[in-house]
Amino acid sequence: MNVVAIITYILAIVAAISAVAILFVKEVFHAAMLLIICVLCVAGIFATFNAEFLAVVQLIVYAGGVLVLIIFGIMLTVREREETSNNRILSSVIGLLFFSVMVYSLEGIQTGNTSTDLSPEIIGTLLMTQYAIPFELSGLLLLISLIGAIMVSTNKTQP
Amino acid sequence: MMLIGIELMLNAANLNLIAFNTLYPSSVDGRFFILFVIVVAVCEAAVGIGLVLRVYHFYKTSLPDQIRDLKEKA
Repeated sequence: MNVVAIITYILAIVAAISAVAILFVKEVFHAAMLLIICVLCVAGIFATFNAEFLAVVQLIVYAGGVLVLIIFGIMLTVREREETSNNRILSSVIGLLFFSVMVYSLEGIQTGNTSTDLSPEIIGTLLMTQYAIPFELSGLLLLISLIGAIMVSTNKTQP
Repeated sequence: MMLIGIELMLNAANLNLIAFNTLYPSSVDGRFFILFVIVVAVCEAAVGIGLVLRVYHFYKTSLPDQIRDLKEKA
């Protein structure tokens, strides 16, 4: 067991603990903070899997964009405490089922040294050649969601 | 707001799963799929925040249990 594997396990454990702690936290703002920790740990896991570009994308997009959006939303809306859900047993049973399926399917995988590291040059070339159609579709999806967010959040009575 | 948190937890779990999927060497499909999943998650978060703010402006609450009526209050 080398150093990278130990770092990966530590990051995974921290991510799992923070993800579970989201469920048991009363304040929504604390849940957002724990979500930041979880996202940062996932970015670290990406970095240990030789996927530095994905780690940087995760940091910028999630920790920089989505979490700021969520914290804005929390600060603009929440005045009262969230009530805890009362079907916690059912949801935990479903989660345990999904986890057991995942463990069962991951049983035969050898955990060796993974694929080669992708430089941003190779990533750009592949995005423009092999993955051109999903790339363009994601651009279209971004445009649609931009228009949709503007349509939803603006007041319709104003011209 | 807890709905948004749950959605993002799902996305993080999804990303983690795909990161395990990249353990198969000689395939870069998983990594690019992570990129597109991130794009979709960002779109969903943006539209979701817009919806939540709109709902809060209308109902004066953000708890999904207290939103009951479709029609505007008379």
